[in-house]
Amino acid sequence: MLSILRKARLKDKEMRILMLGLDNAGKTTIVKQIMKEDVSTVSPTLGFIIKTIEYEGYKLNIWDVGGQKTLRSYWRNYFEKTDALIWVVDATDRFRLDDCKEELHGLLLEEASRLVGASLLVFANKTDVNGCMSTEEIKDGLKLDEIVSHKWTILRCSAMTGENLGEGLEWVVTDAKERLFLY
Amino acid sequence: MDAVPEDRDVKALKHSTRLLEDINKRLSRLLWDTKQDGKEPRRTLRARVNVHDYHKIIHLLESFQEFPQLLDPILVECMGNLTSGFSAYLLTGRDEAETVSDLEDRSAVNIIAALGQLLYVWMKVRGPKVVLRFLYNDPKWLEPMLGVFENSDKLIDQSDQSADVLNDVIEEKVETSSYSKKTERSGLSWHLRYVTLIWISHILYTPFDLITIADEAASSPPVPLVKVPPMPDGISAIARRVLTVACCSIHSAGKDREGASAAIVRLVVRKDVYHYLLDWFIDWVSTTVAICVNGNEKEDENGVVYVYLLMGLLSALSGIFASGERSIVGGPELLANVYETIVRELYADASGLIAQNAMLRKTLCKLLRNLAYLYLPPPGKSEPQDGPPEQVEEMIDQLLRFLDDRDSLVRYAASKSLSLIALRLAAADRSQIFEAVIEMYDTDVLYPNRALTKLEPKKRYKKDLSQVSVHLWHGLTLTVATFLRFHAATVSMLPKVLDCIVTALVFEQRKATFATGGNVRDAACYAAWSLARNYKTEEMMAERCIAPYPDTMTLPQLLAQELVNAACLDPIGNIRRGASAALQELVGRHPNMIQDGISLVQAIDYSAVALRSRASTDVASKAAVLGDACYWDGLINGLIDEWRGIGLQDSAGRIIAAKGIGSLAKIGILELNRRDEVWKISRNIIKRYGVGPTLDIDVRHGSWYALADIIFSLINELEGKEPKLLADILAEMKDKTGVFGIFDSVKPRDFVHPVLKPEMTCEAAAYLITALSDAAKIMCAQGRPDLPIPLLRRYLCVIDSALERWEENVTTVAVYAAERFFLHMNDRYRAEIVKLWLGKSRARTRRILVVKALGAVFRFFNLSKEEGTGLSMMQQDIIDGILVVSRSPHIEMRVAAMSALADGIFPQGFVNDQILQAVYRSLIDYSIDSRGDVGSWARIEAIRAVLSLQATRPIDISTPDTTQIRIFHKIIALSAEKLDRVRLKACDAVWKITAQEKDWAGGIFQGITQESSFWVNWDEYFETMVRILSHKPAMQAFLEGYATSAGAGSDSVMRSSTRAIQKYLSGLPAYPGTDGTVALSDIANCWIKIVGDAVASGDDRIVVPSLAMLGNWFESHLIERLEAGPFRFADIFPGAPSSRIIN
Repeated sequence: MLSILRKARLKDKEMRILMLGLDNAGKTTIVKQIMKEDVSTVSPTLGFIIKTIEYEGYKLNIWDVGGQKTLRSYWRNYFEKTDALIWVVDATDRFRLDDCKEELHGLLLEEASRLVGASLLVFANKTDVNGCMSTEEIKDGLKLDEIVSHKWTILRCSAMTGENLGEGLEWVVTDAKERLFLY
Repeated sequence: MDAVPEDRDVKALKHSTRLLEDINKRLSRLLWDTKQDGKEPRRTLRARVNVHDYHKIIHLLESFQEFPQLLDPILVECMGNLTSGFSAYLLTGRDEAETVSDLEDRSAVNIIAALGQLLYVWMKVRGPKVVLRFLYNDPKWLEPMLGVFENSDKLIDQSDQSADVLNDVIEEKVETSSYSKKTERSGLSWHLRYVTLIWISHILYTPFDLITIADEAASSPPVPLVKVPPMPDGISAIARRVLTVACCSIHSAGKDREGASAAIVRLVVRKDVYHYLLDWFIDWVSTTVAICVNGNEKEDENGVVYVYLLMGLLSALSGIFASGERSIVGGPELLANVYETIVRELYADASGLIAQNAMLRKTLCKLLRNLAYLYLPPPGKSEPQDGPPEQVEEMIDQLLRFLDDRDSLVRYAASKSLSLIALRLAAADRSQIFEAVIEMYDTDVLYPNRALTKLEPKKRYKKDLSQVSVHLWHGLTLTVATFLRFHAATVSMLPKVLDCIVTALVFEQRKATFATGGNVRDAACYAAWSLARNYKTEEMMAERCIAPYPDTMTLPQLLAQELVNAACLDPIGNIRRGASAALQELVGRHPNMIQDGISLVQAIDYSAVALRSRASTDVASKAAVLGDACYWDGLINGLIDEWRGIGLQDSAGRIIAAKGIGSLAKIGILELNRRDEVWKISRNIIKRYGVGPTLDIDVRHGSWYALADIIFSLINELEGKEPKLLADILAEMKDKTGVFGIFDSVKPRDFVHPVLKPEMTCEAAAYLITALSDAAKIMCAQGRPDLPIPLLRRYLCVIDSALERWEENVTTVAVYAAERFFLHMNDRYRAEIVKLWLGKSRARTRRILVVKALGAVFRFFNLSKEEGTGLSMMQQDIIDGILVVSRSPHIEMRVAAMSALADGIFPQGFVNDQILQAVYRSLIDYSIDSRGDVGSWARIEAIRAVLSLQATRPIDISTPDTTQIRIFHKIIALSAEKLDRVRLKACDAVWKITAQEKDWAGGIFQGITQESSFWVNWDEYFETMVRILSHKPAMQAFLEGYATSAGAGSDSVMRSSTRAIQKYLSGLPAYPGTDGTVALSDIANCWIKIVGDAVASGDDRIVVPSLAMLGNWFESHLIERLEAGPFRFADIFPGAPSSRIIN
């Protein structure tokens, strides 16, 4: 049963992506913007929502997980495991950058075995706002250089204008091509 | 039925990098011989490869079978090595095969055989399609490849056994069997033939005309066994050669048949060949089909087995239709010809050949699919208005029939073919097929007669699935899942579809000894997942549930409830996980449609449901309180279901289910305020197992456990906190459910009659009585009337029957029940019962539980403080009784006596010399019967008793000549004896007893902890333990025990112990010095004493191994060292002349 499903997933080029980050980082807005939905009305996500985005022939099943602590349940399930992580940071929120770092590292540490093999894309969101942090600032603040267990990258983006969102997905898909759908 | 805890794929990924490097390095070393030639290292291909290295690589590769993608990083390099090795080999011209100097040489094999197998394993693990990309496709390789078959005698000598060596086949050379070997196998293994044929098929993709590659006939073409019809004129020589080679394998039972079909497919669909060969091939297939289907022969006169020939030809045919261009293979006349002469014949299957072989049917499924594609317009073009052609409908019909196949292989294939064909159809036709699938669910379903009975709605729609085919349901559910994946069901069909999924989620069929239907439920989880994923919220919400479900319920909510039940309650771990995944998908895709969906998903997660015990208790309890408790009802009723929960076939599962019922009932009463419902459910539980002819003993076992667990979980929660409330609830339960009178309707024979599984009844009854008497006590304490005497007497009878049993499952439960029940009685009754038990224990039967119960109730007769500290009359009687039992002729009884001492008497801190004597006797119990060394049970139990005594009254090991010291020495002896179980238990005891002694804890056992490897590594164990010989008082006892290990133990024990003692002895001085340390002569004298005593008492058990041990000492020249002193060798055989050994 499972092997059939795995084959089907490979054939359909399906991926499972977890979208995480502190609350109010703009995760849902990013998903909505990518899906070209109305981004002006977004309320805090309770729990999680699954959306499928078709991108370059790939089916990206994005699990948009609300900024809550009890996340463990979503890491993997019987049918699929997580292929990529998207961590969204609010680039205007200097105060909580430290919290954000703690969360991210805690997550990677605690769930190392379940997330093994997933690459990590950090989205520095809300860069359309004046006075936001620079990429370097966020990279240092989050201590991304200390992460060796996962392949990672950081991108500036804006959920409101849609800037760089496509590039982010591009990175995820390219990475997946290298790892998952090599042949 | 718990799921595998650790995720294997995670583990594999973690360790893969190292393994991959290893494979890569080893592979190139295996194939190439690198010589430093001048400055440039020069690689040459080895002629023969090392078998050991080869196996190592294969082993490593195969460990990636389930995670093939991990191999990708080294794919390029490894394939490069293999292909260049293969080609290098083909290029080296050779006139004749290398003769093997030593035929028996099994350490190295012919390289071409090894290359073939390596490539095959890569194809197997990573998939042939991926590996193919790395094979050379230059047409110049075609001839050398053909040469592998045409000149096979030049590659591998006929006598070369490389292939057999690689596969670890050791064949006797029998002259008679060599006939077929020589003609057929021609020395090539099937791996090599498969790989080469696949490679040939790959090269045949070349766009150049074959005639330009080569046009010479083979000098010595192999002769196929199959009767190949004469090839048409005009076909080029090279094509003829390919065909000949392929035909040699087309009837093979091995995998090379697939290679042969692939080669034929590629050849036949070539633009420059099909004119000649396509019709010719189809004629060949139809002739063969006619012979196979209409005749009764299994093979032809050359020994070609028809089944395999047909399989090869049909898969080639299917391949031709799949990969040939429409303009070549799609002509209506050709299709009609094939359909009439081949497919229809196969449908008819006059000889039953197809029906007998699953692989054939699978091939047929694939053929039908590829044929159907050609009947339908190509993708992108719309279908004609009047629906698919008649032939396609027939094929779909046939595939639907294959969904009920008895082989899952065929069901999978049929389901896949069906859904792929459906994808090519217009939406309306697709829905029609889907409807047909859904309707097939109703086959053989029995409904109650709705017109006549006035059943409640739930029952009126109750389906009786006992007659349906499990296979069909599996096939159907699989198909539903794949159809849902591409949105084939119209919205109006969803309620019916959901009904099917929900029914499939709880599908089970009982057979006499096992249950089937797990695959149906597994597929149902997949279907539920597909439904949730591929339908929009609006679509799901558009319709309401149909009967029997309440029409107020939405579809997602209904599905969620059923998935919650499956995720918590299913007996199979993977189904629980599947259901949990489907639930996640449902909640995530349809936000706010499921009550408390998010919390539900968090409670029921992947890892939480892995353990069955956790899923049906903790997880179910968490889920039960969510969403206004809308899941509680389904969960608790699911646990008393027809087939799940207490209806399960295995008793462990029922006990777990009962625990679940207990916790859910507690929640129902205390948190959800649903007392009345709980009482109703309890009454249902009592009704559930039926009476008279409908009585189900297994279910009764589960039911009683469940009732008891309801009581226990209430007591655990409220006792101490709110005793008043607890008593009220229990009293209400007593009145409303009548559970206290439950044994009134049980017949006495249920507890004894062997056919009625009395041990199961006894176990559950004892458990329930424990609960009931605890409950009664609590109510009594709150001022409610005690249970009436007749009821108590009845309970006592039940306990007595349970104590008559001897089975393991009853033991703990029954003894505990007896102990708890004792609390409920006054002294007069207690004394009466003990007298009764004492009488029973003396009878010459195996009433082991009675003895254990005597031990357990010992404490109830303790004297009160005013009366002093001695023994009461009753206690003296009990001890006397146990001592009598300890001399019983039945080993089980003797063991039970030790248990009674260990569990009942010693914890009270009482001991006397008589008891110690009894323990000592048990320690030297070496009785043997047809079951083997049954005395070891007594020895182990006695050791446990000693440890139990040690806990309250530490053993005195310093005063000599007491029973206690004799016991201690005996345990030391046991710590070196040959039986592993006994030895470890004894050593553990010695270690614990001596924990406070300086000599021991600080000396022999220094640094040993519970986790030390000492306990599992025999070498280390004996090397440590042998030092006990230096402890003079214990020397004799220990050496005596040691002899049994060193002289008669199992191989590994004997080796370790012999090595340890010889090492120890060689370190000793020959004769004692002045410091009083142990010397070799002491050991030798000790040995003489042991053997002397043993001979005197005629104890072969010690004499024989002791002599063996001494023999070893002589062999290793240890004893010779004594020649320098006064040791008299003659003493070694003091009693020899008179002993029986000489005889």
